[in-house]
Amino acid sequence: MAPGNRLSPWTRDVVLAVLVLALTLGLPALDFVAGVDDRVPRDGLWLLLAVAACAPIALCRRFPLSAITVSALVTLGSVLVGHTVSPWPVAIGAYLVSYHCERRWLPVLAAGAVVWMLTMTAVLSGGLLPSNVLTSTGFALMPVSFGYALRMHRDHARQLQRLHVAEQQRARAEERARIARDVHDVAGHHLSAIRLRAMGGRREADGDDALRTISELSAEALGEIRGLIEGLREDEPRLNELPALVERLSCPDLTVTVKLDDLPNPPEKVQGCGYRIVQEALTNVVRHSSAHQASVDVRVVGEDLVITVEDDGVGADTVVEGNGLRGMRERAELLGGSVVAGPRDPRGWLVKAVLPVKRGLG
Amino acid sequence: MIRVLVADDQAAARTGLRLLLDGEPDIEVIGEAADGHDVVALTERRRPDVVFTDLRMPRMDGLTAISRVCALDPAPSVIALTTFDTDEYLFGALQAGAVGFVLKDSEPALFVDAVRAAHQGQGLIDPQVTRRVVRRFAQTSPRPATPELAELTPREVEVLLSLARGLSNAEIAEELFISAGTVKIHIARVLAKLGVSTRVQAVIYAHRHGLVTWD
Repeated sequence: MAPGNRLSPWTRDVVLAVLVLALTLGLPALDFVAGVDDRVPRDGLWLLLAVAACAPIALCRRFPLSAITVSALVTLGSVLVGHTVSPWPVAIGAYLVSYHCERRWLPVLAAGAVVWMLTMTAVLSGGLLPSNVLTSTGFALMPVSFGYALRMHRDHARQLQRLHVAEQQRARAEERARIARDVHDVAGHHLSAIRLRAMGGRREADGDDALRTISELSAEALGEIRGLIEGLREDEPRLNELPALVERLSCPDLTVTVKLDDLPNPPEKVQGCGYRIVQEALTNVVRHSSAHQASVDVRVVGEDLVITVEDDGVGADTVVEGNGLRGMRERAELLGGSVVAGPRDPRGWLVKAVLPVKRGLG
Repeated sequence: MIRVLVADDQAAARTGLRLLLDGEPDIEVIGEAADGHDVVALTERRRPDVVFTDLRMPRMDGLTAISRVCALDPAPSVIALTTFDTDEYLFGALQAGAVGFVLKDSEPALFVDAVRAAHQGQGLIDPQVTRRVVRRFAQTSPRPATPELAELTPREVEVLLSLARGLSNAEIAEELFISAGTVKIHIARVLAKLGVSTRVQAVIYAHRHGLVTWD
C-alpha cells in the first residue's frame, strides 16, 4: 500500500471527474442564487454536454490527447449550439494531460490549447482583437505550464530516488570487492605459503624447521583474519546517532526532522534495534513515497521506548509492505516489542515501534 | 640438470619450493627472487632454464616480470604459480608469455612435471583450469579464413590489413605509395569480394579470421 494513497489511480481519476462535473453544474447555480440569468437553457441537452465535457477527465491518464480533444470539442460545440458549458473541465483536463502525457506530445498540447482558446474567444465575442489574442494565448498556456512544472518536479524527485538507490548499490559493491581483496590477501597469501612450505618439508629429513615456520605463518594468518573480522563487525549503532542518519537521508526534496526525548540510556540492544527500525522506515520513505516532510520521534513512555516515524507522502503507487517491514517486526519481536505500520491521517505513512526497555535487557 | 629460479614474496614459500624442486635428481634451484625486479635481475645474471614465479608480488608484479623475462635473449621458459585462478592471472600470465600455469593447491608432482615439461620445450597448464583455457580459446580464437579471402589480390590483402590496423584512406595511400583514389577502388573491391557492405565489417572480418594478431 502506498503511503497516503489507498485509492487506485483509476478511482482517483473518476472522483476528480465527478468533482469537476459538480463544479461545472454548480457554477451556474451561483448566478441563479444571485438572481442573474445568463440566458443559457438548463435543459437535458445542456446536462448531457456538461457530462460529456467532464467524463474524459477520468481518462486523462490513459488516453491523454484523445480525452482532452473530446472535452475541448464538446465545450466548443456547446457554445456553438447556445448551451454553453463552463471551460473549467478543459482547463483542468489540460493540466492533467500536461502532467501525464508523453513528453513528445507537449508541444501539440500547447498548440492545441492556444488554438482552442482563440476559437472559443472568437466565437464568444464574435471576433478577435489583438489584445484578445495575447490574453487567450496566455490563459491557454497557464494550465499546461502548471502541469509541466509539476511534472518536472515529479521527474526530478524520481531521479533523486534512483540516484540514491544507485549510490547504495555502488557502496555495497565496493564493500564486497574490498572484502574479497582482503580475504585474497590475508587468507590466500598465508595459506599458500604454508602449503608450499609443507610440500617442501616432506623432502627434509628433519621437519622441525618446516613445522616451526608453518606454526608461525598460521598464527600470523589467524591474527590477520581476526583483524579482518573485527573490521567487518559493525558496532551496534546508538540512538544518539539518529540526527546524523537523518542528515544523510535528507535531500532538497525531503526534510526530515528528529526529536529525541531525554533518554535514560536504554540498553545497547534496544538502541541498536531502534536505530535500525528508524533507518529502515526512513529508507522506505525515501524510496517509495513522494514525501516532502518526515519526522522521527523517540520517547520513553512508562517502561517502553516508543519510536514513531511519520511522513506526508503522496502519490507513489509502489508497495512498501515486504522484507523491510517484516525485518523491522522481527527485530522488535526479538526484544519482546512490536511494530505497526499503516496509512496516517490525513495522508502519509506512519511506523510506530514499541520496545520494552526492561525486558530488552534479557 | 634443469636450472630453476623460484620467485615468491614469502620466504617460507620460497624455501618450500626450493626443497621440493631440489629434491628431484634432475632439478637444481639456482636462485630465489622475492619480487618482480629480482626475477628480471637474477634471470639476466644467472640465466636459468626455467623461471617458476608467483604472480602477486610487491614492487613489480609477476605479470610484468614475465613479460620482461620473455623479452630477453635467450628467454627462459616461464611457469606462473598462483593461489587464485582469476582470468587476470590465468590469461594475463599466458599473454605475458608463460608456458606453464600451476595453482598452489595442486599436487607437488604437478610442480615438478611443469618444470620438466617447460624445460623440454613443452607447456603445462594446471588441469584445474585447462578446461577454461580451452573454452576461452574456442570462443575467442580466430576462425579459419573463408574461400572469399583467396579471391583477394596481394595488394587488396595489404589494403585490408592496413584498414584493420585502423588507418585512414590517406594513410594507406601514403604507406603503400599509391593515390587515395586507388585506395578507394581497392577497398571497394575488397568489400565486394568479401561480400560485406561497410569498412567496419571488413575490419571485423580481418580480426575474426585472424588476419591480424596481437604481435
